[in-house]
Amino acid sequence: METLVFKRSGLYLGIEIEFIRQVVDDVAIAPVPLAPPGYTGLIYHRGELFEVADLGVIIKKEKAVKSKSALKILLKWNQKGIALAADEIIGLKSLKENNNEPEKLTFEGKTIEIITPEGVWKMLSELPYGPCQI
Amino acid sequence: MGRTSIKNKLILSFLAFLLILLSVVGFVNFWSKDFYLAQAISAAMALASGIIFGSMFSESIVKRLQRLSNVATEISGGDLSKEISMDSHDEIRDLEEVFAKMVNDLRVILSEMNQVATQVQQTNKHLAGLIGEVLSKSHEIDEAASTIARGSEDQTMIVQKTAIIVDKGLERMDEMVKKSAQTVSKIAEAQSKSEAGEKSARETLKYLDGVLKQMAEYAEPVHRLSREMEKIKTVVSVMDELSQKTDLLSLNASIEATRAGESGKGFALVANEIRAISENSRQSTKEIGRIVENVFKNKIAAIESLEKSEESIAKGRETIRSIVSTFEDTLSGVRDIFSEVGEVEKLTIEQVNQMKGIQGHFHELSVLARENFVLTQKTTIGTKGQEEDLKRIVNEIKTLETLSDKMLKTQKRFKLPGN
Repeated sequence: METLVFKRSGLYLGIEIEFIRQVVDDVAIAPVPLAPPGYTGLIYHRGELFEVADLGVIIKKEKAVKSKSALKILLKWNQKGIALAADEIIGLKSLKENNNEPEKLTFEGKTIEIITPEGVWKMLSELPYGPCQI
Repeated sequence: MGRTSIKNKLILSFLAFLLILLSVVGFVNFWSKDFYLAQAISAAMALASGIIFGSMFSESIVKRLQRLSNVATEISGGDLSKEISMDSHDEIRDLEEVFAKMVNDLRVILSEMNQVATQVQQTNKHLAGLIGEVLSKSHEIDEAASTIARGSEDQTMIVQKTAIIVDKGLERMDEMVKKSAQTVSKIAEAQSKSEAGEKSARETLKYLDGVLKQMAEYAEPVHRLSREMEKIKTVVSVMDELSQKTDLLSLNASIEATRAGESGKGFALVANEIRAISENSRQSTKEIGRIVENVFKNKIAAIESLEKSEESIAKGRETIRSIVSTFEDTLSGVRDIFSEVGEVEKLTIEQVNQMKGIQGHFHELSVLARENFVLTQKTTIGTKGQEEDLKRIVNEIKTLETLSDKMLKTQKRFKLPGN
């Protein structure tokens, strides 16, 4: 399983390449009023809308850190589109599956957490309504 | 009434007598017939008339002379109050008038003598008072002279002491003048040293200006390099951006190739190569960026060092400028001090000269005080001699008083009208 590994707010995250449409930078994000923290806004890319999620805020429950990088990983599956904010793209990694369980990946001594678009979608849907304080 | 002399009177009287006698003789002769009888009677009558006439005439003259003699006797007795009556206008009248005039003159003389004696007495009294006062004043003068003599003695002592003090003061002032001259010499030396210091400081300032100018010239290439480095940084930034874009592009290509499966493996290889090149390019760019950054940092450090050096030199320049200013001030102060000390020296010399003049005056004063002392001694002697003289004058006045008393007594012997 080919996985794209990236870094966000000190977290090393991996996502299967199959769901990745494109990695872009310098894309304008339209903020959504009353959106909760972690839900950064919307990206319109080549005729499609992507909801931008900041997993650093959602997972770590911390305030968003302003990153120098404007990298966004655009995911597309089942007519749904999500863009993940990334600080750095580590690279493509191949994972071997053992009994349908992907092997554990590490980078610089830290475990790479493998995420799925559905998991991110679920996390987004579970976010409280409105701009609550973290 | 006209004046008639005795002779004329006598002739006229005789003639009148003769006429009367002839008339009587004629009358007798007329009435008598006897010639002889008539002649006898006439002769008797003529003799009787002659005796009577002569007696009467001589009586009138003797009486007047007797009266004059009486008056003269009384006058010789001191009675000048008697008046001489003057009836006729003959030679006796002349005698009476002369005598009366003499009496009057005597009266005047006596009166004047009286006045003179009285005045002499009064003058004697006044003179005695004046002499008393003069004696008193003479005593006072004597005392004053003694006081002045003592004062002169003291004055001489004081003047001599003062002269000694002035001599000492002069010696000190001479020392002061010498020291002042030494001070002037030292100040002149300090002035020349300050001038040399100021000159050195100015030269240093000039040299520092040159150094600053040279530093500005040296800094110019560094600034130019800095500007070039800025351009390189921009280029490196563009290169970095390009490598990032290439990296992203190769990443997306790799993703697409992976998604394409077996058919995309070749493309994946190309994409990976491109990504590797991009990565290399990025690494190179980063290295260049790092080098440029280091150069930039070094340049900044160099510029900072230059700026610090410039600042230090500017500070040093300011310090030296301040030193120059201080030197100028010091020089100005030294010049002022030199001028003032010169003035002080001049004044001190003038003062010394004045002191020498004062010393001379003191010597003169000492001489004068001594002379004064001698003169006061002489004055004392003179006043004592004056006292003796005055005593003699007093004796003379007493004699004069005795004489005036005598004169008054003599004058009192005469009786004047009204007394």
